[in-house]
This record gives sequence, C-alpha cells and structure tokens, in this order.
Amino acid sequence: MRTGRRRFVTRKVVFAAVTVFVVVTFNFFLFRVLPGDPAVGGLRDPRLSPERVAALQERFGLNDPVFVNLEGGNLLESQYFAYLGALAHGDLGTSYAFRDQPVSNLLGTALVNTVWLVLPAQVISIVAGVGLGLFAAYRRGTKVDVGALSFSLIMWSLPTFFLGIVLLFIGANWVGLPTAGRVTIGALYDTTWDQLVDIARHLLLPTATLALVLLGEYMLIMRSSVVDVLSEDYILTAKAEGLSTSRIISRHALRNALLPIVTLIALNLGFTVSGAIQVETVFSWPGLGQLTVSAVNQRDFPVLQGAFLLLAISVVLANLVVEIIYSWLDPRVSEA
Amino acid sequence: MSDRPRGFRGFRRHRLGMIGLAMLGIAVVVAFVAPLLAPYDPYANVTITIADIFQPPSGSHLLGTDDGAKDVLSALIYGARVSLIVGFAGAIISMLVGGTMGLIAGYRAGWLGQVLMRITDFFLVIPDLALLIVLVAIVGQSLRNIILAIGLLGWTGTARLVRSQTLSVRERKFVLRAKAMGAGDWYMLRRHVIPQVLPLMLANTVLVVSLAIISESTLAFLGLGDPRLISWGQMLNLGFTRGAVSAGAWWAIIPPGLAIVWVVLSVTLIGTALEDLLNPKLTRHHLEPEEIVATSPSGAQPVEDVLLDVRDLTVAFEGEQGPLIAVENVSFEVGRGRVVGIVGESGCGKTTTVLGALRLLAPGGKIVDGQVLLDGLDLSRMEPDELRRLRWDRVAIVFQGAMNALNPVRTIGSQIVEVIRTHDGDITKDTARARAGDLLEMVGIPRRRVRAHPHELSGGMRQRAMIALALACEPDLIIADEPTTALDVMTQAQILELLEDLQEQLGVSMVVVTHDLGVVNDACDDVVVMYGGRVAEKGPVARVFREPQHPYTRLLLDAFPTIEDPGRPLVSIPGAPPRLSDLPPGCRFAPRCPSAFERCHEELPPLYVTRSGEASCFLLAEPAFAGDEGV
Amino acid sequence: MRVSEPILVIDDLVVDFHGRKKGESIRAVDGVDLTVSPGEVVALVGESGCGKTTTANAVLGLVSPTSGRVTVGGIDIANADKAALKAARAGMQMIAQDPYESLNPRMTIGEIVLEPLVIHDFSEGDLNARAAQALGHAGLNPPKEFISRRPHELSGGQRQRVVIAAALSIQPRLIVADEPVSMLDVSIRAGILNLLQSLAREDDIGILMITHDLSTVAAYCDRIAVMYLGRIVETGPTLEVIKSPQHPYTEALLSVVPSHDPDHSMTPILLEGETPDAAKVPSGCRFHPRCPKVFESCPMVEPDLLEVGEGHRAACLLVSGLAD
Repeated sequence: MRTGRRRFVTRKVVFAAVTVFVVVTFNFFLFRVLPGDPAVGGLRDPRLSPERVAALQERFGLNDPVFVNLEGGNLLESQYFAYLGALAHGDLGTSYAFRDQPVSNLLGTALVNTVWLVLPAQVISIVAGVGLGLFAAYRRGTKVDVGALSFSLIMWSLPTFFLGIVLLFIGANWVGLPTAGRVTIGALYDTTWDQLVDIARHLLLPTATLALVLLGEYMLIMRSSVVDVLSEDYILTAKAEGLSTSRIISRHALRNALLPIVTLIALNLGFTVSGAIQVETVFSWPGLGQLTVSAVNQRDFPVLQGAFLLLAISVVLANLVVEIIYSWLDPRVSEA
Repeated sequence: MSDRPRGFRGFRRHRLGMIGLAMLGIAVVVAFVAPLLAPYDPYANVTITIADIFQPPSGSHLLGTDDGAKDVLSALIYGARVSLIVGFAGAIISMLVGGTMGLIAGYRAGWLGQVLMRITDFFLVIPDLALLIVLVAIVGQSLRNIILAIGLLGWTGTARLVRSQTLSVRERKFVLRAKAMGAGDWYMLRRHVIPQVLPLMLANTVLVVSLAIISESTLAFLGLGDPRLISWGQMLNLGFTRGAVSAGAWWAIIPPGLAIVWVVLSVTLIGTALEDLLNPKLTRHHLEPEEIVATSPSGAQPVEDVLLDVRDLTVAFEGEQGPLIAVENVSFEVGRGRVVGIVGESGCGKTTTVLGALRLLAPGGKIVDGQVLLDGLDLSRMEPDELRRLRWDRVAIVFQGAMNALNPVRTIGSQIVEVIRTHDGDITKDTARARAGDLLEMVGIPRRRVRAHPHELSGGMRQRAMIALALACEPDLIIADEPTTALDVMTQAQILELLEDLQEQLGVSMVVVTHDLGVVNDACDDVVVMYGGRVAEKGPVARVFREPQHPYTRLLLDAFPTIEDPGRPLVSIPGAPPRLSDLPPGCRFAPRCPSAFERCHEELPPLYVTRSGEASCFLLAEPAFAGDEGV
Repeated sequence: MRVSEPILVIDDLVVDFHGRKKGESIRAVDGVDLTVSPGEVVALVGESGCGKTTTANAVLGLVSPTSGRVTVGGIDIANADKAALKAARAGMQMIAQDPYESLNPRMTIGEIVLEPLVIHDFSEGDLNARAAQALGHAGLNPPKEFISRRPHELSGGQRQRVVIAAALSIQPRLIVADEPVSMLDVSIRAGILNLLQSLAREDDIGILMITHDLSTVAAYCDRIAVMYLGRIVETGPTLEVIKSPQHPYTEALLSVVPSHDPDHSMTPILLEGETPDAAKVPSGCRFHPRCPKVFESCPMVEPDLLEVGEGHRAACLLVSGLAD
C-alpha cells in the first residue's frame, strides 16, 4: 500500500539521518577521547617550538573545552560545537600534511576517483554474480555448479590486496598494462578518445580485482537464494500452470531470489569500501582509500577524520537507497 | 525426523570439513614448532649486501630471500604464529561480545534489546576496515591493540545471528511451556536458549576467525601491523613497497599470500562444514530435469464417461537406502461431472498420488509404473511440451495453504492474466485483465482486488483467489489438495459451498484430497480411502460411509467425532501409520488391525468387489463376507 | 458433583495489544468471565482471532491483563508476588498444540518429564521413579523404554503424551490445553482426549481446553464457552448448548461442522464475510453485521450474558427480550 510504503521510507530516512548524526559525533570523539589524543599528538613533534605549538593549538581551537562548556559562558563554546558548526558549512579543517589545503577539496577529488573505480566493479560483479549464481542453481549438482562453488570459496579466502598484487604482477610483467595511478603521467593525448583509452587501461586491473572479490560472494548468495526460491510452492504452481521454464525463472524466481542479494549489497557496502582501500593502495589509485592510508602514515588527522566521515556517510546513504529499492521489490516489507 | 538435535557428530564424514581441519592442523603445528622447522632465525640481525637481496630460490634459501636478504621460508614459518594468534584471540573476543549482545538483545526484546540492536546496526554500517585503520592509527600498532581492535569490530555479525536465533528460540513452544511452569531467566537461558544457540554460534565463530586473519594481514599490508613482529601481511607489505614486483621477485610475494589463503581456506572449509551440519540446506528444487520412466502401455480402451483414469499408479522417491515406494498400484476413476474424495491420514500417499498423476512430484520422486489417462491421453508418457500445453488448460490445481502457492511479490491479477495468456496467445492483455476481474467476482472477491498482493488478503480470501486462478482456463478437471485445511470452520463451509456451486454451474470434475471425512461426505460423490500408499477401499461416499467394508475405514469412522451423537465413545486405532522405509510385508494395515490373521501379515490383499464398492482386505475373500471373487 | 471451589476463576478479563499503527490498541479479550472446577473439562471455543488463545495465555501468566483478574487456586496471577506466582504455576500446567515444537530436542524424555520438578526445586524421593510413574500414567508403557530416549524418536501422539506426562509429574490441579489434538492424526486423537478426560474424572484435575473443533467439544467437555471477537457469546453445559443453541453465532457454527454421517441433514447456516478485525469492533452487538437474525436494536445495544437455562447463558438481544 502506498501509505505503508511512505511510512516505511520516512522511517528509514529518519534512521539514516540519526545514524549520520551519530557517525559525526562518534567521529569527533574517536579523535579526541581515545588514548594518545591525536589532536594533541600531532603537535608533539619535538621539532616544533613551544610557541609554534601554542599557536597551532590556538588555531585548531584545542584550548576550548571538548564537549560542552561548563566553565561559564556559552554552553556551546566547545570544540564539539565548533566542529559541528564548521561541518555544517562543509568545513572539515585543513590538512596537517598538505598545509593550507582544505580537507574538503582533497576529499572531493578523491571521492570522484573512488566512484570511478567502485561503480563499474559493483555493476560488473552484480550482473555477473547474479547470472552465474542463477545458472549454477538451475544446473544444481553439475560441474558448472561445483566450479562456481569452488570459485566463490577461493575468492572468499583470498585477501583483496593479495589478488591485486598478483594481477598487478601479471599485468606489469607479462601484459604490459599500467600498474599505478589514474593516467599515464606526462602523457599528451591527440584526441579525447585516446585519453579515455588511457584511463580505461589504468582502470582495468583495479576494477577487475574489486569485481572478482565481490563476484564470488554475490554468486554464492544468488545460488543458494535461487535454490531456495525454486523449491517454493509457488514455483510448483507455476509449473502446474504449464508456464515455460524460462518464464518461471524470469517472472517468478528471479525477483524473489534477488531479495537476499539486495540485502547483501547493503550489508556489503562496508566490505566494498574495505576492498577499495586495498585496491587503491596496491594500484596507487588516487581515491579515498589511498588518501586514508596516506593520512594514517603521515598522521594527518584532519584528513583521516574527514575521509572516515565521508566513507561512513556514503555507506549509510547507500544503505538507505538499497533499503528503498528493497521495499519496492518486496511489497511485504513496508507493511511489517 | 526434522527436529533431530543438530550437532557436530557427522563432521568426520564431511569431506571438505576434514580437509579444512587437516590444513588448519598443519598450520597450527608449523606455528608451534617454528624454531625447529625454520632454517634461519628471521628475528636475528644480519649484515647484508645488495647482492643478498631478492635472491631467487636456491638450495640454501628454498624460497629465496626478501628485501632484507632474509630467508623467506623462515619468515613464512614464523608468520603463522601471528596470523593464528590474532585470528583466534580476535574471534574469541568477537564471540564473547557479540554473543552477549545478541543473547541479551534477543532475550530481552524490550527497550534494552532495542538499544543493543541499534548499536549493532550502527556498527554494521560503519565500514569496518576504515574504522580499524583509524583505531589502530590512534591507539598504536602493538599486537595487543590489533587483537583488541579486530575483536571489538568483528562482533556485529555474531550479535545479529545470536539475536535472531534467540528470538526464534524464545518463541518456541517448549520455552513458553517452561515459562508457564515458572522457570526463571537464568534457568531458561542455561537449559533452553544457550544449548540451542551455541552450536550455530560456534560455527559462526569459525568464520569470524577467517575474517580476523584477513583483517590482520590487511592491516599489516597497509603498514599498520606490529612493526616488531613478522607476519604474512607484513612480508607482503615489505615485498610490495620495496620493489619485489619490479624486481620480478615472485617468491617474496606469492608464498606469504598463499599462506594466508591456506589458513583462511582451512578455517572457511571447517566453518562451512559446521553450518552444513547444523542447517542442512535444501539441495533440490522444482525445476530439476524430470526423469520419465517408460511404463508399460495398457491395452485397455478409455471408458466413455470417465475423464481421469488412474491405473496402477506407482510412485517412488529416492531414499538414503534405495527407492521408497510412496504410492503403490493405485487405481481410481473420476467420472465426468463427478467429485472424488481421496482421504487418509498424513503420510498415506494421497497428495503424492495426485501430484504424481500430473507429474508434479517433488524432486527425487518419479512414476515407476502405471498410466494416467485424461480423456484417453496418457499423461504419464506424454512429451514434456505437450504436457505443458495441457496443464491448467485441462487440469488445474487448488493447492493447500494458498499463502505459499501464490507468488508473494506479484499481484493476484497479474498471476491470473499470466496463465490465461500463456494458454491462449490471442487474448489481449486488456481482455485477460477483464477476465481476471470477472473470475474474482465469480468466487466472491471484489473486482478491484486484482491489484492486491497475496499477503493483503485473509486466508479465506487467498483460497478464493486460488480457486479463481484455477478457473482461469476453464479446465475439465480441478484437483483440490486440502483446500480447506487451516481454515476456520465457517470459512471452510463457505469455500466448500463455493466449490459445490462452481462445480454445478460449470460441470467441472473434481478431485478433493483431504484428511477430513466430514469434508468428503459434504463435498464428494465417490471416495478413495488410502492407507500406507495403497487403496484400502473405494466406492460411492454414501455407501462406503454407511457400510464400510475395510476395517481401516470402519475404525477411522469410529475415531472421528460427530456433533449429532456426542455421547458416542471414540476409539483410537492403536499404533501408528507405517513409515515408507519400513513397510509391513503383507497388508499395510495388518499391524494395527484387530481382525488381522496370518495371511494378512504375509500377502498383499487384492481389491475385492463389495456391496459398497471395492475394498482390499482378506476378510472379504471369505465366502461369508464377499459377494464376488476379487479382481 | 461439583462441590469444591473452582480452581480457576477468570473475572472480567480484558487484554489489549499494541496495534500495528502507532498508539492503536487492539482489544483481544473484552470482559471474559469463566470458571473451571476440579474434575471438570471446560471448552473455550471460537474461530481464529476470537481471543481464546490470549485468554489461555493470560491464565498461564504469559500475557498480563489490562484489567480484570485471573485467580488460580486462590492466587491472583497478575498481582501475585514472585513466590506466590511460582506456587500458582506449580499447580497449573500447559499443553500446547504442536507436539513437535513442545519438546526441547536436546533433552531426554526423562529430563523433559522432570522439568517442572527441577524448576520448582522438588528433590524429595526418587525422581526417576516419579518420571516413570508420570509416563505410565500418560499411557507410555513401559516407561523405562522412554526415559532415556529423545523427542525425535517418538511419534506425534507419543510426544503429546510426553507433554502430558511432564504436566502430571508435578501433580497439577489445572491443565490448560491449547488445541491438544489438532495437529495429530485422526486415528490417534481419541486416545489423547480420553486420557485428558480420565485425568479430570479420576485425578480431579480441572481442564481448560482451547479448541476450534466443536465436534471434539461435544464428546469430551462438560461445559462450553463460545467466543466471538473477544467476548463470550454463549456458555453452558455442552449437551444443552449443542442441542439448543441460543446465540445465532453458536447456531451457525454448529450447523457448519462437517459430518461423516451420510444421513446428516442439517442445513448449514453460512455467515456472510469474515470475522472483523479486532481493531474495528462493530457497535452494539459485535456480531450484528453478520447475524442472520439481526434487527434494528442490534447495532445500538450491547447485549449482556443472560441466563437462559440451568447454567446456560447467552448474550443476544433475542434472549433478553429486547427484540420487540
């Protein structure tokens, strides 16, 4: 029912909004409260003079109370509320490492690059995983099925970064594909087409790595989901109705079997992020993952904080989208 | 039986699981005796020259040397220690945290459970590797911190699993019974909940171990491992960042990678095996290729007034110890415009008979012998394509419990339209839609409900929709399999009335499968009483029920309460129906029959013609009882 | 016959549930009065959703009443302190519909039978002998063969007997049986029902039987209470209610019970439509939209249960004489 769905969507949007707020707060305290106080830690560099430290502390507002100002005056005059206020204006601070670079600029560029990598990988792995899983389930018990199962098992056991290194090793030493970065550095292109080809060549290995890793799991879930659906009573009804096998699969089995896949995609978004971090590191792909890792290595906490926030919020929002798609696929959930 | 307690006892027969266990065993042994196995001490300081770096495998270095000129094999052997320690220690933390959270959230469904679940949901959407990186970067890269961080981030899956298990155990009747007896929370958890949840939690923990091992190696690869320790991820990190790829030094990269795969695969195999044992997955489905057995063609000519003629139908299912005969030599006829009831207790083969006749058996089942003639056409030997065209067009089915028999994600209307257009390609979509509306009105559902999904209708309404669907192609024969089971008496009466009206209006023939003698009496002209997969007795309902000839029919009628004669004492039939795997050699009913004599236990009785029809009982062979000699 | 005090007294019981929509409340049980005396089998009959199972759960203390009282052996279930409640529970046992779900698959039959004693810390005497005695009493002979077996080795009928044996082990005064035979094969139902009846007759146990099956009621229950949409619409001695039902709903229900007697000649009274949603209870007499005998006053006046014969009461305006 329409109203049921609207209520469902509203509820999910509210939950997502609350989660984002909790993520924001969690993110702030994570960097303030944990032992080793990184906000201060960054200033413990012995090469900095005390005056310089004091100046930096002033600049980053590290002298204010952390959560609420209980020392008199405005309750909201604290680091936490300053952070919220800045965030509302899209201000994530400035990088320690790339001095004077606003964190938001760094993140923006990186996010675009990550989407370039993750989106094709997701699409390829979902389409291929669903197709192969469907086929394996339909031909249950045959060699195709056993092959599909073994493939997913091995993919699951393979660390993403290791698969990346192996592909990179093969690509670099035997195929001659570029192994690092987004474009060939210093290249001059005759046409836009040439430029696109160059980007595509760079994208090939990282996308393949990510897609392969995701594919195994999608295939496994799709297979068991299709077997479950094909043993349901309504498939027997469809068979008794004299529908053709292809019609039973396309009109009765596919949509129902996709439901667990959609859930998995939602649950897997965090896994996708983790894959992206590893792939970007292996292939020096200038995305959010690489930015995160380099921020860690340089102890560049504003960038790390911003990158983590962006990753977490992306996952929350993507989750919301998936849940809304689910409610459209399965009319029962919005009534629950 | 379905509720046999699931345990890990069958593990030794699970091949993949045993392989996994052996692989893990090897890794554990290697980790324990690392100093004995390793040719060099990877922690020792050595002075090196450029020439020692990335040396290919040789006699003195079986797997070559790494970027620090150290022996790769030795590092590999020592690396097993870190992976296994982090994997198991992290998983134990995850299991304790997740198990406790899940148990509380599931057992206390109130606000506390809600809060815990929200916390779990929150951690579930946080990208775990990103958080792991941040955490380790902040608290420092020591082994202890890494174990803690991995353990404290890996619990969400366990918590969700344990919670949903606990929630379902909590609703089970034996828990409610204990609660009604006055059991306290601690007793309930200890005696009922934890024993049910624990095995699944252990199986899950094994998978958590594999996640923890992967997390550790990933962290180390990203440069966030404990710098003082040699781990496989660390080896990959150093090899990768210090030029192993460009040096072509595969030996510095492939072995540690494969070592990780080895351990993770071993643990995953064990975990999958444990899950298989606890939750045996369905492995069969309705679209598996059908096995058609060539049955002997009968010489008999089709009889004029008979629409469906089932002759000597025998159906078998694959069993663990060979085929199980579920239906044996069943013959009955459905005359044009007649309603035939097939009645019997659960497991007597009544549903298998009708599904077998239409070749709609569950996977693993097949017709072994006999013919099924529909208007003279033998369904049992027909080509699949021909059979498909005939289905629903001439024989439709009203299934038991229409909730599952209708596709839950499609509207009632679209399912009716689909079947109409499948069997008549000339009908336009609009005409078919109009017809779907007409059909719904015919069975007493408002026209506008064509857009309803099955879950939006009540049980009675769903059964009506199922009947409308069955009428869609104007079939000659409708098979109703327990059409009113699970419905309330009043709804049952309404549905029976509807079927009766439609039958009179459309002149359609029907087979009604039911366990309820009252339904047979209300709705049917003829009855087939089945027991143990065979026909015990058949004939016109009024005659069979008035003068039952088979002891089983008689005892069944005596066991059935009636409202007219409340004072009549009811009598149970002693014993239980036979299992398919353990059928008695003679008459199926002999072990429970008060009139059984020696012959009954040795031979299968044929069907004898009786005053009220036919019955399969040796008592009727005695001249004193029988009219004519049997067939 | 009935000289003793009732073991169970339900007094104006009301149970509300939260509805699907926020703030909505559904009245599953709306003012039910009922008593069960020792040695008596009382049936609570109705279609699904009429509130009979909720009533049983309130008796068992599994749901708390919104108002009204449930007293078992003199103890007010909803307001008793922990110790008193536990004492009341020792005297009252439950038999559920599904014998496959009622037994913990990981426990042995012996453990299951002794569970009530363990929960109530009984340790006097030989527990094993007690388990054997209860099993034998429930018709599982010889008991020794069952004690160490597990539920999956038993048939449905045997399992239901194990449930009964467990109930008997603590010597209860009240048994609440929720559809005790509806999942069992017809050929073995009579055995279970005969057993329950003999427990009432011989051991003086009061039995509250929840069922939708009027033909079972007819043969095995002393008194009957028919529920419709949360209320008792008719109650009385079974034979009298069945022979001369006073409420049109009872009359209709009785007329549609299928019979296997070919000479059965009752014309079924088919009611229109389905039982309304408990969230939308009709005004006046809640049965009026479906009642074949409805007249003008029915949508306005809610009828009370009035005496129509010895212990026979019905809630219908036709009975109360307001029909004119």
